[in-house]
Amino acid sequence: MHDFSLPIGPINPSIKEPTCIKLDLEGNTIMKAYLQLGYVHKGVEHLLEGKRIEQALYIAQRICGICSFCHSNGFNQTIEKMLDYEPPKRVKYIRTLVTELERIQSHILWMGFMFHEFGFDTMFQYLLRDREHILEVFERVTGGRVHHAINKPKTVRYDIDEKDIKFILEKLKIIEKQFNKYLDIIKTDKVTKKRLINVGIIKKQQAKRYCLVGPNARASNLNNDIRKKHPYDAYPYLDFDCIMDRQGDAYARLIVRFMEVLESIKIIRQLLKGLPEGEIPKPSLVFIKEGMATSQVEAPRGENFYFTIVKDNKLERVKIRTPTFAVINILPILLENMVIGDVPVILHSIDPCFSCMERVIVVKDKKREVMDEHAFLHKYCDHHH
Amino acid sequence: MSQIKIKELKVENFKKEIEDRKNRRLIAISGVDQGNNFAVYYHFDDREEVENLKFTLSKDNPKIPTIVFDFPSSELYERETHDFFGIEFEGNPRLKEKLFLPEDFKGKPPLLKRENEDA
Amino acid sequence: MSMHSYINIVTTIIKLIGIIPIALLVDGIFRKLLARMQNRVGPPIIQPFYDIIKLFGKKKSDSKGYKNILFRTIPFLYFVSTFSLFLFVFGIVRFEFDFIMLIYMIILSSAMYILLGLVSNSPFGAFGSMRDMLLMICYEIIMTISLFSFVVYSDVLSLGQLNESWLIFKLPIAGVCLFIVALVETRITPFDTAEAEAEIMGSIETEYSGKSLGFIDVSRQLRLLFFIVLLVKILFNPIGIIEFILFSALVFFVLLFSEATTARYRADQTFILLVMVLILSVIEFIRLYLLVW
Repeated sequence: MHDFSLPIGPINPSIKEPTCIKLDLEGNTIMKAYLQLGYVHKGVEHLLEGKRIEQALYIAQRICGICSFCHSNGFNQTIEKMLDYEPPKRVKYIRTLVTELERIQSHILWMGFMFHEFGFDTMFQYLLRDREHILEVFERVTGGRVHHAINKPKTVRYDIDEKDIKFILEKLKIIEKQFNKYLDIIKTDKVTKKRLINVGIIKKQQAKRYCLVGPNARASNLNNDIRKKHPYDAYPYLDFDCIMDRQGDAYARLIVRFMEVLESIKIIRQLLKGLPEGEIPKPSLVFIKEGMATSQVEAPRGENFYFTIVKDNKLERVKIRTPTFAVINILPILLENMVIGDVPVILHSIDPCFSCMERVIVVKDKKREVMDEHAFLHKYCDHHH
Repeated sequence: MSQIKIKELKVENFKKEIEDRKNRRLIAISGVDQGNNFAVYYHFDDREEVENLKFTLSKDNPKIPTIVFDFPSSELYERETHDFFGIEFEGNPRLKEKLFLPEDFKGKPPLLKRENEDA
Repeated sequence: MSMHSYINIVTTIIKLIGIIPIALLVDGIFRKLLARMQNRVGPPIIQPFYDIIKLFGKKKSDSKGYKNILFRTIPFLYFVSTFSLFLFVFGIVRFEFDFIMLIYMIILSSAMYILLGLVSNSPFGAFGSMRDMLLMICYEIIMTISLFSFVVYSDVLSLGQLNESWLIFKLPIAGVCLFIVALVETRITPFDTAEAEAEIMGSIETEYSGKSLGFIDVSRQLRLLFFIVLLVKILFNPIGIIEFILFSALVFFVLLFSEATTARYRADQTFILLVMVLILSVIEFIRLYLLVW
């Protein structure tokens, strides 16, 4: 029997997107946790049905704000697999460049909020300032700070030149310098270590059983990195390591993501040095009579999986399995027998991105209405009448 | 023109096929409405590429056993497929709880095909 | 009445009226400097004035707690009890054993803050109050014992009669204990567990808005000023107003650095730390007791 139930969410300053985790508390300890999802369900999979390929690419980019390019990349790869087409090397390098930049910016944002969760606001402000440099790079390379509409089937829209390369390298140097300072803080600050070490431990056996992906699995010594297992884009030509850690607690996840930023900087430098010559092809329309393909992309949070079925040049079914969806199931297990002070730390350390994860119904879509207008108004707007 | 490896299997051999793949990583479970019947795809991670198992179910009795006790992560996948298509996964204890849809949702499962399709 | 007592009354009234604007200014400078240390621009120094004006201009909120008369009145009582703390440090009230009254008033003010959470009819408020109560057991005792240590050492009967300067060097451990208590009372990291907004949504103050929140905010700023002044008076005991401002600035900067460069401990970790500080202060007190008598 528990003392009382405390809901974390749907509106809460510590979670970044609406979600609800009901906790059964006894004193300060959590007896059981229940996930209640569905607050940002947007209707993407239904929206994508019946669209042409270019329209679908436009929608797929906007599924998530932080990991926008990995969605567009994943979808694009299914289309290219259906066409049996391999893009020229320069296109692959540019796509990998944007992927790695996105990884850096996502990890920096995560780290900033991680420090905010236990009150270290100074690091939060410093890290978000560093993220600005990456967003400026994005604006220069792709034209947008958050959504990068640079992918097209078979090609990319913009090319980069010498001045852009110099700009990117300068910005990377700034970030690397700052990160070497932060490494000192993370390794020596007592409060950070006290709040993060031995909190939310995932053992390797558990990680394997729950089929975890991404940095959460790598922090428990389980390698599920798509860049090494099923290499795509320019990854076969690059030399880099997968950062792993053995402890599996929140501190290990912080270290893994921190070092991944430094590793991504190394990858980008290799990319820019070895950028192949040549012209990128101009965007053109594609026509697919019938096709079915899957693709996997390494998003900042893990493996992003796309399964597309095309009929008569229109999409029939798109199944998107985002990395958060694979990981979120372990959260109630992690929260059992924890103190409530650890809840934001644990929740945030698995890096959830609920906007990617939830794709719901469209309540009113032209002629088809799932809940008719009367019922909707009656249920949700009645107290105004 | 697809480069995808699909193994079409019968629901009777379901238990054996899943037993063989107990140590693999389950990537996703997708449901597809094929007009006349349902297809449920199980995507497993193989060494070189993704292995897709396809099970066809009839529309009047879409039942398939659950794998939630071998693969705990499949609980969310099965609940999602059930909410959106109406496919029953026998043996899943939390199947009836709605995952993404509102709790009092009364209507046909949303991702089923309709008669009048508009682009 | 004589001229002397008229002047006394006037200076007292000026002191009392001036406390709130000074507290607001001090808080504004605190926020501005904290922002600069975090590489941001920060709000203007008179921002707290804008905040107070905005809060007092709001209408009553719709909270269910309004049925409870305590919900409506306790913020004002909290403000009054915090404000009356200043009567002791600025020498307005002075009598024998007044430090015991001072301790009582500090505890009363903290207890009012905890009551705020309990009457607010929300689980977050109740939870925050529970946590603060747990910590209050510890830090109020530490404060009492440290204050007693200072009084016993200087062998005076009233705070206004403290005439030894630089007590911090003579009683360093008690000074450190008092300093840590000041960090907890003013809710500055690493000890701001009660205000852990990332964890429980603003805890005690969740349901308050408008005038009530205005009173709570002003009281928070008054506490910051009060503890700075208390620390300066007891640890340094300056003579003259220039030394007073200098030492206040010193204490202010130490508190600011603590806020900017540390993270927040979990509730149970704070409790363990406070227990260790309690043991330390008790040892110091016993040592002084045996030394003086």
